[in-house]
Amino acid sequence: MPAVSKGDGMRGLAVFISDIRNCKSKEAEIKRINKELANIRSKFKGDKALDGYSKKKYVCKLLFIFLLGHDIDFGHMEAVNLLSSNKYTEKQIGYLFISVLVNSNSELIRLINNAIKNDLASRNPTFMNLALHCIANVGSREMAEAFAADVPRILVAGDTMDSVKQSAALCLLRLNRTSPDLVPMGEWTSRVVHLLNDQHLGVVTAATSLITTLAQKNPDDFKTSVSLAVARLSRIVTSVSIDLQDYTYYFVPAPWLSVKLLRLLQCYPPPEDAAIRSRLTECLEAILNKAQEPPKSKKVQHSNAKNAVLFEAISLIIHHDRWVPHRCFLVWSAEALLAVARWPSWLRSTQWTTRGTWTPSST
Amino acid sequence: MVAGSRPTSCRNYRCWIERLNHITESKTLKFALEKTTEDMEQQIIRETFHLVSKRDENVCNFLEGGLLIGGSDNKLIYRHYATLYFVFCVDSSESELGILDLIQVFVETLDKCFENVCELDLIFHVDKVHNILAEMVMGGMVLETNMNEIITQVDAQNKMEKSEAGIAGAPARAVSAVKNMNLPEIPRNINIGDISIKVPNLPSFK
Repeated sequence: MPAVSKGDGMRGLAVFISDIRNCKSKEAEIKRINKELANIRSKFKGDKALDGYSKKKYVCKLLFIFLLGHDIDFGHMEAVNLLSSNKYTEKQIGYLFISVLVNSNSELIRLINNAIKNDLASRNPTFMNLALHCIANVGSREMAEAFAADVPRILVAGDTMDSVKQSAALCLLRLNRTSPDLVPMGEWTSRVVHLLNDQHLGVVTAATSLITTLAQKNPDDFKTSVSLAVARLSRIVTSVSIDLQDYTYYFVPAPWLSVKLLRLLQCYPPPEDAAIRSRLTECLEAILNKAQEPPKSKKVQHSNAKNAVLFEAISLIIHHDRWVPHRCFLVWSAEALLAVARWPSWLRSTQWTTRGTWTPSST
Repeated sequence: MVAGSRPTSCRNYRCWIERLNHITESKTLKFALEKTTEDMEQQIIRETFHLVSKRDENVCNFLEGGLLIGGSDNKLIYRHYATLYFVFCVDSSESELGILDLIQVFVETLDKCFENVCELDLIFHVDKVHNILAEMVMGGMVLETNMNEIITQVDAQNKMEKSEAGIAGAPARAVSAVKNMNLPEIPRNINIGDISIKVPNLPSFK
């Protein structure tokens, strides 16, 4: 069953889009768009208060017109009104509009920040996710000022849901990039490191991205992440008993997470503890050996994922070589790379179908 | 077509995602770019389109970005599916091969969500496509790569949408219910024999 039902949805929007597509010339399209813009303007200015569904429909039409490449200079107020609706679909369209058409009007920014504050405090994970997405995608200085203290709190709170934790981690990362002076380092930093032990691999992936960036500026605060990262990497790469079903991508276990963990480890010198060091060596050996095995699948995605992990592992080996020269590892890396070059499928990096649609190739 | 974020004070680009039709139009889904104006965004689209559409089928999927998008610090990673290109512009904070596979996951997810997705689905359901993308990428970084998780979230959103539709959604649901109903054959001629009904003579009203 398709997750998106084509029957429901805004009929007026579908009709408008069909009209645009049926226009025979650029002038006809512009004429149709102007007609619609005039219609929407009059509805927004009209005496009758619009109901939520109509507002949503018109804001969505404005968004579509903007995506076609035409400038939109109104509709922001109505989109902000949608943010305060209790209905998920209306909120969603409001946030989408705001994220795409960011406005520097300070009055609106205040209203948007208020709406976001309410959603963050709402305890409804879907609303919280929408709000965090908006903050991450816009990432303006005003938002950073308003929320830089709240987001870390949400991230490390015990009762936050997994999906909200993921969003909060990446939101915090974005705020840190745009306004690093506003994100306070605090006791949450040690709790963030412990997210590497979380059961949900999506949370671990997001946390690793966050820690990697923060560790580049404050390596001492995140030193404890090295042992946790090695442990997690070892569980993914070496132990076959763990069921990573959902995160296994074309026979490669959690490739994106493996790459991120390897990158995190490149922020630090080789671990001093002998046990951790040997565990890491085991992982790297396992990755290099897997590269030399014949591929488990002919599909290019399998080799892409396997090679992504391999290249990152080799980067780590080269990085560690500065401190502890390890000739064997360098030789093994070279052998692994030669093995990769031997399998022809990795040279082909695109696949498409000839069916006329662009569904993924099944070869 | 452009979706973009307006200028902020930082100069660093993150990642933007674009879907190009190989003939004329170009539809950008999402920018997590900073320090751009709308004109620049349009120019970036045009430049990307020129760079990518000239590529042969058998060359690799990685391009160095043009001057407008930060030059050689940023790369364009694209995949070509029939008439559409999906282009991601990334800097060094994400693995390039990982992004290549992310495009694949995105396309497979769209395929699952829309059932044999085609270009029209993307045009008529821009908001749904945005929502699916929002489950995967956030603030320019990879958020979730597990297809089942993403689809679970999308399903939950659709359930919420259906429950909110309420009375307004009733006609649409009635129509689909009737379409799916199995009506038995109705006989055309109903013969119930001769019936004579005597009509009483009613006095006229005075």
